[in-house]
Amino acid sequence: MPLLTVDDLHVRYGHIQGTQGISLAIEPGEILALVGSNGAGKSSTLKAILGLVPVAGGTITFLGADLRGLKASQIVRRGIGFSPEGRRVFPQLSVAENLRVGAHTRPVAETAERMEQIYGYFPRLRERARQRASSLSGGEQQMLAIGRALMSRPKLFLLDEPSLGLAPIIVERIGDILEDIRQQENLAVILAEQNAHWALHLASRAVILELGRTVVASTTGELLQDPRVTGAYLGT
Amino acid sequence: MLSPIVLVQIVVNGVGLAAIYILVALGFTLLFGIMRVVNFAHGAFAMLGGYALYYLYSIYDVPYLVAAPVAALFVAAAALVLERFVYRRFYQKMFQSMIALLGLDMAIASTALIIWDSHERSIKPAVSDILQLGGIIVPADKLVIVAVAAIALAAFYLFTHFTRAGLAMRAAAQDVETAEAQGIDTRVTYQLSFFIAIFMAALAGGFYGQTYALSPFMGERPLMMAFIVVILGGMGSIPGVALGGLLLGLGESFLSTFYGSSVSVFVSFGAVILLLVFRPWGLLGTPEK
Repeated sequence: MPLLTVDDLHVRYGHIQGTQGISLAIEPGEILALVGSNGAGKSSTLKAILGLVPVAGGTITFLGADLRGLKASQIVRRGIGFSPEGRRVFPQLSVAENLRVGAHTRPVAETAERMEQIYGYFPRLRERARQRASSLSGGEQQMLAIGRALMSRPKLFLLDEPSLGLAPIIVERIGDILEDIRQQENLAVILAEQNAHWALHLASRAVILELGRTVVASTTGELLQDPRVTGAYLGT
Repeated sequence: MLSPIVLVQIVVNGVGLAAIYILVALGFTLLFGIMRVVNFAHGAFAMLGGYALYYLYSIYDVPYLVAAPVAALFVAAAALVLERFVYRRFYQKMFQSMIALLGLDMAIASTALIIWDSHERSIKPAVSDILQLGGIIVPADKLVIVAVAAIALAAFYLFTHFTRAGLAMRAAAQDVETAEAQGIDTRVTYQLSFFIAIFMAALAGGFYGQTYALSPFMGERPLMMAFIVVILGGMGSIPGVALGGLLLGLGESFLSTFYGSSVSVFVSFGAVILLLVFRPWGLLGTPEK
């Protein structure tokens, strides 16, 4: 049984369509890339899964339960973590405080231990633990946003545009760390990315979105050979 | 002229005023920073706090150090009804909230007018002793106000920095949607912030009523001062409130001693106008992007 299944998802903001029929499924411990251009519906899909935007149609099933109508705080408790587009770290809070906010849904007693694990994945965050998040570089802020989301020990991690505005070498490093965490914690990741090249190499399967719809869903091995994908997204 | 004796008295008066302004402005900026409501009814809760203290302390003779916090708690608890039926509908709707809460302010003040009529009452001083330290005369009453306000502010600081609920409040103040995405139940955070904000306003209202006088419209001035403090310090900035409150309290005490109270009001508002022209985000606020 898949960890999460999204079927025919429709999201609407007033009169504007966010998504109009997105379907996807992800297994435990798998990285699934959500690839598409700006406005394809990647962010809307992630926000709908987390309950941040209302679902106008379709179903979202996580661990056999329907998530529709639940508040974000309830969905996080069920084991879904989220790192938003643009990182959105709390600028006036220190690095350690940002991480502590991420542990909001977990027992206080385990916060320190989990924080050690996160610092293990991202040693840079430990060095800067007492600094304000606003003083970090873009790459460090992205690491903090990922670490913050992982503080809640999610089974599924929704990661929105982590490569945005970062140097390629930093993007590669974040990919390596993500792969490491996936292996160690059997974490499932939905990676929404405009950088299709990077996302398709990191993920095992991918869903290609266009204008709010799923157009192709397959393994990344196949997609990297698919002329529709290589032509439109990889620029080859 | 400015002898050390006068100077100390000006400072004590100024710190007393600053304590009141900071308490009112802190709640005001908290409501704006977290829920984006501009609480024009903030002064009305200060007024209610004044009357609550009047009944508990002046009429029923409850000891002052019990009466002051209990009066504020009572007002904040009763205000939760308004949170449920009025405030909650205007969270994250800044402009609608201004009009609605202006209306609420009038409704509360007019109700108070019907119940208590317009004549001014006074709250007896917490202690009537005068402290005399080497020629410097300070009413002990002022010191009690400063001490209680300082305890409230310290408790607020400890709460926001050393508890999970307090951290959630600070996170929500910076980015509500992201706070929600980290699993924070914003409805709980909103309610808690509202309760704390009204508690502080009501506590300050008691002090204010004690320093000046009680009347149904006494909330206007603390509200105005909260505005100035918040604009001076920067909308939504908590350290800004402390700085703005101290500047305003000490400035007012100093200017009104030497030049009269109209000059002091003139200078306060003049400073706000200048600040809005040259540094609209306040002394410690951050510019909007």
